[in-house]
Amino acid sequence: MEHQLLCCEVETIKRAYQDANLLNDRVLQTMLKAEENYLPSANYFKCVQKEIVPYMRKIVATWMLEVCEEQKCEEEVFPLAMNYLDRFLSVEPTKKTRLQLLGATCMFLASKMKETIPLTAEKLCIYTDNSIRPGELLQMELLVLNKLKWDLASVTPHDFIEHFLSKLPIHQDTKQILRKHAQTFVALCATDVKFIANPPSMIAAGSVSAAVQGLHLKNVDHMLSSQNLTEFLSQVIKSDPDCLRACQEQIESLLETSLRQAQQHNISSETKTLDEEVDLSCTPTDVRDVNI
Amino acid sequence: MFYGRLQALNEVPAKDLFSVGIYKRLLLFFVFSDQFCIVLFFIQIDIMDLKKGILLSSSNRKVCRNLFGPVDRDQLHAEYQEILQKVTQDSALKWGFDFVNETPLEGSNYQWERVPSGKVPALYRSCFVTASIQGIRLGKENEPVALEQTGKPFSCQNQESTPKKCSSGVLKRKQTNITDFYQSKKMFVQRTEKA
Repeated sequence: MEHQLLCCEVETIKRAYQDANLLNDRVLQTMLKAEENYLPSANYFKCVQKEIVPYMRKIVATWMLEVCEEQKCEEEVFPLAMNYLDRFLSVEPTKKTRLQLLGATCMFLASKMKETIPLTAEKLCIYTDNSIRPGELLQMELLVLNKLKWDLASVTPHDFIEHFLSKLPIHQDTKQILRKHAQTFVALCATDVKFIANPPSMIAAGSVSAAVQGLHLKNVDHMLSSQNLTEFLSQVIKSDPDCLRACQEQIESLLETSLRQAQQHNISSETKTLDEEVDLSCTPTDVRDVNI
Repeated sequence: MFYGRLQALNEVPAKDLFSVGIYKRLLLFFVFSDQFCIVLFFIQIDIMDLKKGILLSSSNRKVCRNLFGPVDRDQLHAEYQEILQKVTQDSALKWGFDFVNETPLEGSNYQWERVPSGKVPALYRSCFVTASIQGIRLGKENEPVALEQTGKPFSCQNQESTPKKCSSGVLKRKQTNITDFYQSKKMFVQRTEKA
């Protein structure tokens, strides 16, 4: 009976350890060069699309993220799928009614690229409330592959995060939290139109430094102070520090907007628990004094 | 590390975070528990909550939904046929082979030669997927169970005769677990001992 008391919330998929040999400068340089080939065009809403407007991308992105979360997909699947979606929309004028099919197809492909057990066509069709059939998903798959020239090995911000973390003077446990936060910011960026033009390395660097600030790690090491970190990461990605700072600020303001929206939603749905939680917001000041 | 995190709660969006209800449990545990592993466990949960709080603000909405109305089925099918034809034509030109009728084209850079199917590796032969594959498609959560259920076809006998795997209609595996190999190795050792 005892074994049944074990925590069952661990990953069921067996995975290899990260290969430390791949976290070197040669790989990083190759990735920085390669990412250019997978950038969508920044202004496809104006130049290519006639029916699709930015808010529709937001709707389909939110839906895709929800599906990925519910299916417990690998973190990379969602940003990769969004990259496919943007690249497709950069070259192909698409009807509004086909946007969800496109989103499902991109998740289908990204999942096949990144996951041990990929999402099935049937499952994805259920998530569209059966408005598409598996056969149509497979047909769309060929259309998408053709437009992407069968090149699905896009570089994603996730590929860079590991490199950046390996360069920072942080304890392993803190790294785990930092990674999670940075990955959340990456997903957040993928849902927002403003970040389409930014290369993955920039998004990753901005997310990591936003996470470092958010977690208030700057006291851990002087290298992690806002300015030093931005300087350092901008050198790593060979970019202008001001650009990176702007990207980080954009991420932070997006985070704030999203939190506010979440808050508004919460106010409308759980008004009664709000008082209790406002109370709690004073707690950390006391808790900080607790010696652990 | 925990110290840093608690400070973070006081940082910029702290008020917002609290009203979303994130970190509540984390704090309670800081106060009442000094057990390292328990605290860590709660941190993990709360990061998930952070994500839900920020990204999935309206999480009580149904995920299964149709966003923009019905798909243009007929047009999609037409476009698909068009592209399929184009892809087939392109590859026929590229390889000098008519893949539809399975005959070599004349005047290409390649010379084609017929090889009997018995002489090619199993990988290139047509595979029949049996009903047992459904056992493996149970989804992520049930994966270990599914592997146990379908464990039979991967005994050592099958491992030794890979070409038979396809021709005898045994399903082609998607993913190999390291435990599969342990299992078959164990069986192998036992058998040799008996013999």
